[in-house]
Formats: sequence, C-alpha cells, structure tokens
Amino acid sequence: MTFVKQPVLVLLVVSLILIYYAMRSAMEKLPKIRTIPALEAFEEAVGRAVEMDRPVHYTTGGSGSLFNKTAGAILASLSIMSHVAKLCARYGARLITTHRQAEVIPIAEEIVRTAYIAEGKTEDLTTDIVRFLGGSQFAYASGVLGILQREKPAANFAIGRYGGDALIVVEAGAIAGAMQVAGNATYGQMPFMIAVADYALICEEMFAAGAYLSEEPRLLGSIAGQDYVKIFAIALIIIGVIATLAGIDLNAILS
Amino acid sequence: MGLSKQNALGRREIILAIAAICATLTLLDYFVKTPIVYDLSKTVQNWAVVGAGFAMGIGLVNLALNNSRHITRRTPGRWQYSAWLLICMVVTLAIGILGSQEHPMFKWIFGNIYSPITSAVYASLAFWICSAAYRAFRVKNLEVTVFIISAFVMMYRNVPLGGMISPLIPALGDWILYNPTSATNRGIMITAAVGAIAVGLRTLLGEERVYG
Repeated sequence: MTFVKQPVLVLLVVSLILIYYAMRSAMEKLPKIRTIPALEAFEEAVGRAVEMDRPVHYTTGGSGSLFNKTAGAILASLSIMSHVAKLCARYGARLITTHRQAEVIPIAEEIVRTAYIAEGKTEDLTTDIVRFLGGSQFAYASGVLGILQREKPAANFAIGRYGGDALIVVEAGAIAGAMQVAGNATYGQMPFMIAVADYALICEEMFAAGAYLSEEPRLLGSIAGQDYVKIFAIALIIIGVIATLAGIDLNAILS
Repeated sequence: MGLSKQNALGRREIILAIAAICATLTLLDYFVKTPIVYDLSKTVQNWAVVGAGFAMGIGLVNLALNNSRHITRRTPGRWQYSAWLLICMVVTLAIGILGSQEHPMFKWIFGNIYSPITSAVYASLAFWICSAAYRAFRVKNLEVTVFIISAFVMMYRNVPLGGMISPLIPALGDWILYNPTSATNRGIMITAAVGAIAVGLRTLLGEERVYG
C-alpha cells in the first residue's frame, strides 16, 4: 500500500481550514464578505427582463462534465442557476436554461422546479424551460446562437465551464441586446468574456457565488476559509522561493 | 446523520450518503494505491458511465419533446428547423444503433457532415473576435488602453510581420506572455482549485441545498 503524500497533506489542510471557518461562522459572527458587483447585478438583470417582457437566458457552458475534474464548475453554475430561477419565479420573468451536458438536465429540471415551488409560482412552470442542446461543444454553441437571436433575451447569464464557445455565446448575447453576466472556470477564455460582458465572475468568484447568494452562515464562512487557504498558498510560495534561492531542494525533503 | 422526521426513509440523507461514499472511494483511489480501493473505485466509475448513458437518453427525450412542440404548434420560422433536426437525429441514431459506429454510412455522416460543420462553427470565431474587438476596443481608461496595446503586441508577435516591423515586438510579446500573463494564470489556477475544493466539500457535506 502506498500513499501519495504531498497531495494528501495539501487536501487535508485545505479541507480542515474550510471546515473550521464554516463551523466558526455558524457559531460566532459572520465574516465580512466584500461586495461582488456581478452578483449584485442579478436582480437588475432579471428586473430588466420583466420590464422589457423578454426572457432570461441562463447557460452552463459548452465544456466540462459532471464525470470529470470539471464537475466543480458545473456544480457551481447550477448553484447560481437556482438563485436566478428563484428571481425569475418571484418577478415573473420567463426563464430559458440551456445545457450541453445531458447529465445536467435532470438536475437542472429539479432545481428549476424546486425554485418555482419555493416561490409559489408552479403555474409558471413549463416543460420548455430546461433545454438540452446536444452533446458536442459547437452543436451547443449553434443552439445557443439560435436561441439568442430568435428569443432576444433581455438578460444572458453565461456562467459555467466554457471553451472556444465562450466568445460565441457572449458576443451573440451582446448583439441581441442582452445585459450579460459571464463567469468561467477556465482562465483561457476569461479575457473574452470580461471584454464583452457587462459583469464578470472571475474563476474563484464563480465558485463562491452560490455561497454568497445563499447568505447562510456556514457557506459564508467557507468563503472566508478560501481566503485563508490562499494565504496558506502564498506562504508556501514564499517558502518555496526562499528555499530555491538558498539552494535547498524542498522536493527531495517532502518526498 | 439525523433522518428527517417527516420522511422515515430520509431521502435527502440517503442520496448524500451514496454521493459521499462514491466520492470518497474515487478520492481514495487517487491518494491510496491499493488493489481493493482501485477495484471499488473502478466499479463506481463504471456505474457512472452507465449513468451517463441513461442521462444521454434523458437529454434525447428533452430535445425531442422541445422540438416536436414547435412542429405541432407550427411555430413560424422555427418548425421547419425542428423537423429537420428530428429527422437528422433519428436517421443518425438508427444507423448508429442498427449498424454500429463502424458502419460506413455512420462514418460518412460523421466525416462529411458533422466534422465540417463543427469546424465551420469553430472557424466563425474569427469573425466573432472581430465583432467583439470592434465594440470592446474603445480607449476609455488606462486599463482598456493597456488591454488594447497588449492585444496588438500579442497579435503581431504571433505573425512574421511583427518581427519584420521591429525585433522589439516579439521580445515584448514574449515578456508579456511569460511574465504577467503566466503569473496571473497561475494565481487564477490556484484560486480556482481552492474554489472547486470548497464547492466539492459543500456538495458532499450536503451544505449546497439546491440539489434537493
């Protein structure tokens, strides 16, 4: 039996820090979380859709899957989608959600159904809210293009895991005249989304968004825990730089 | 774990327990190299593949229902495309199921229809970039000015013309790519990884209540 030591240690430390701050927030005072402009814009975007009598479009991206390491981004996007669904149900905006991953469809349907039931708007639930656009990246992008051009949503939430389809989705949304909030877990496509969208959730903000919007103490505490993990990572980097400059082989010591 | 009082089966707790056990096995396989953990993890992953197959079926049903609705309602400017989508889907599905993925007709559809269309949509990115650049590249403040200058330097770095204009362009482009861009990318990667761990922990511990 062999252990892979370093990743175990790092994962253990990270998990313990996150759990500690989550529990601490539940028992003591809430941490102060800075305002994230993109998240504050959600109500404004949905309100715009209601005023203009145009739909709200939410999409989880043309990359990624729940069956590999990209699942975190998809889960984070679905967490945000539930808040958007609740806002749409509350204010009476028509919601369209589009997905590339077939395994997301039943989860998305359950999320939308739960949101509408929670807001007491079951009569607004229709079977064409959640739409599967095919299992390939550019079939999905073509489907989203068609929906944006035909339905002309007033708000476009492009939050999830995107590859080359990122610019297609946000640029088509801009041409359709939608107010856009974009978020991506991959840094490669982030510049395109930031340049085109009105608001952007940059990588980590997307993962924190679900917790931020829920306003639950334990979840807000986990956001604070993420910041302390980053401090831990910065400390490791500094130690690594000093050790390298001093000629100490940290790799040999740790392994 | 605390079963719900209203529901003796504790539906949510059972689902969380199954997810936690499967995730723990998969994680353990990554960190602890033993035959028994490996076998259990592979079994869980095989179940996931089967689940993915069922999920694709659900997706197909969703696609068929949404598009057949447009056909029955004769949605103006839409129903023809929905009909064509369903015809293509049924034909490809029939050939794939009856004749397998090695069937010459299936390969022909993939090689002569699907692949060229995918490439064409990917190629259209060039025009989307031009459209986005036309709207976004307006010198309004310092950040956008730096953005525009960096974009032009990087574009010229990637073509021989840049080196012909001045050797400084490729040198500056390399510096931008290997210093600030690299550093930013690595910082974003670290924070995204921490965020993903946090989301995973919250989901497995049942704190993300959106999933029922």
